Amino acid sequence: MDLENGLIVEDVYKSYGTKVVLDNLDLRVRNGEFCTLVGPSGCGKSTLLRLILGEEQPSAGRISLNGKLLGPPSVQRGIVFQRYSLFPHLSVADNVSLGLRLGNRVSAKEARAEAMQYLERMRLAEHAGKYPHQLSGGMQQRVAIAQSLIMKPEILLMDEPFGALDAQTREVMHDLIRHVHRLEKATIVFVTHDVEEAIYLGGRVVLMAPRPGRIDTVYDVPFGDRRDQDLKHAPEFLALKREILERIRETSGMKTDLEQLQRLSGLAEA
Amino acid sequence: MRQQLLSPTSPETFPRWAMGAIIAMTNSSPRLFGIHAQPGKLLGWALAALPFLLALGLYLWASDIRHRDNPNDKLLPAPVQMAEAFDRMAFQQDRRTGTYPMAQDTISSLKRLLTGVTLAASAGLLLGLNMGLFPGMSATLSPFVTFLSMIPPLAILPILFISFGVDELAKVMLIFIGLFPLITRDIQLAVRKLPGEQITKALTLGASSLALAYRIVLPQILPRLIEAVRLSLGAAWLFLIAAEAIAADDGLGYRIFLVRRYLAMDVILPYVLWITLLGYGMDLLLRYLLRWGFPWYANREGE
Repeated sequence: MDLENGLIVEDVYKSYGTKVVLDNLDLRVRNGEFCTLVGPSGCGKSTLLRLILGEEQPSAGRISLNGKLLGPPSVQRGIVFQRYSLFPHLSVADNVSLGLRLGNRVSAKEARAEAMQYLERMRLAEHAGKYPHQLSGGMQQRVAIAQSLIMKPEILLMDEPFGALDAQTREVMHDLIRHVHRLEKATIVFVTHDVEEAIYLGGRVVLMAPRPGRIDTVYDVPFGDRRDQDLKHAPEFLALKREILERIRETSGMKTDLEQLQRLSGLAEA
Repeated sequence: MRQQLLSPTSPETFPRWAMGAIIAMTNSSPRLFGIHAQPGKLLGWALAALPFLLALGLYLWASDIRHRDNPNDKLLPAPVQMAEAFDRMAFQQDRRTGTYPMAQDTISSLKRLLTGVTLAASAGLLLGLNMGLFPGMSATLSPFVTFLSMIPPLAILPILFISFGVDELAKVMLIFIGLFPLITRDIQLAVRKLPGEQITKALTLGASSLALAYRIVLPQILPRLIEAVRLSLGAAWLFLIAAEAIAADDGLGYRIFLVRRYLAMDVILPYVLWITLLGYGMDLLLRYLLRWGFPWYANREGE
């Protein structure tokens, strides 16, 4: 593994007052890798993403991307949020070309042409003139992805981007983002609480645990690049999913909750 | 005429609208009262007109009673008297100045009002935008603007007349000082309410602070500015009339307070109605501007 390049999170520690949110966290993401962060709520996965994004600074430790220490949000990193990634006052085409225009590196005409290329790829070309509110949730997220990709960021961060979509749309988006990842050779860090999503998308699944937030286990996903929806029902897939879910239950204390409930209601077997 | 109101398909002898009104009041599915009421279009118009007609009827009735006692009553002029006064003010040249008083008053007042409102809106937008976006600006100016907004503008009217003279400037300044702190605070709050995700997103797209303020935030705040202006128009008229009442030689407020000396209600009432209509018209205009100029605003996500 290249020691200098990619995303390197070293000994990162984050606390709000006396509350420790991330404790001594180490993570490396190679360039071109699709890394998914999964874990129960309160495990600090979103906090970690915000630190990489630069919205907040770690209390201790360092985060670097391709040898450069990371500061406030910049063009180095792209982001797709669950909501509010798009600017409501701009048309779809203007949303996508905005990054190119803000840099003033290309003319309005060139920016628009390039935006149309990305929209074509996202199958949204015919919606270029609409406003975001006129699109469905899935379409909006596709625009948001195009809007980020056009900047060719060194890393694309995604914070539960499909969390607000219905199940069918989410499946379509899964295949789309995998396709984009292969096509653009993008480096992606993807936060989700959906284990199936994490396995299906990720080359590696990083499982985080709460109290204090930390990395619990890193799973290498052995399914290579060729994946389709049937994979979600394959025995190996289900076994890995079961293993991760089991581990989440152990680390989050949900298991003890269930035992306690059964004891309280007199249903305990022993 | 009446025949048309009848249902064309059924040979009912009872007018359909009357039937509807009765049903509306007696039917178990409520159309008029309760939270599930669904007044139809016609019924909606009728309901809206009802308070207006009641007020008008009440006035006419009271005016009639007073005129029966004293045909020269000035306190509650009859419609005919008001029409005469309106004709005199609006359509007959003033022999001394050669102008039409009502047109002259309207133009003068609108000029002052629009100048004051425009200045307040521009300053409020600029300041509110920067205060909402940049913590340093907010830390410096927020307490001061909040403090300013608590000064009753009319209380400093004498100071304005002394320092800006009794000409146009003092009147414009009163409107400006009355409106600008409120608009500033409203814009500041609106900027703060923009999702933080958008700011971060813009930064990852390479936006500088300046681009963030004027290309991302400003266009999104403009519709909010129109709303703020709509809400402060009433206050703007109040300040204008007050300033004109004290020192002016034309203007709608000036005229009202001038003819007050002669108890000329027949002039005052049409003037008040005219001011109300002007205000209502401006509000309507701004509403259309909002709808046509910012089509994304009414339907934006999550609000």
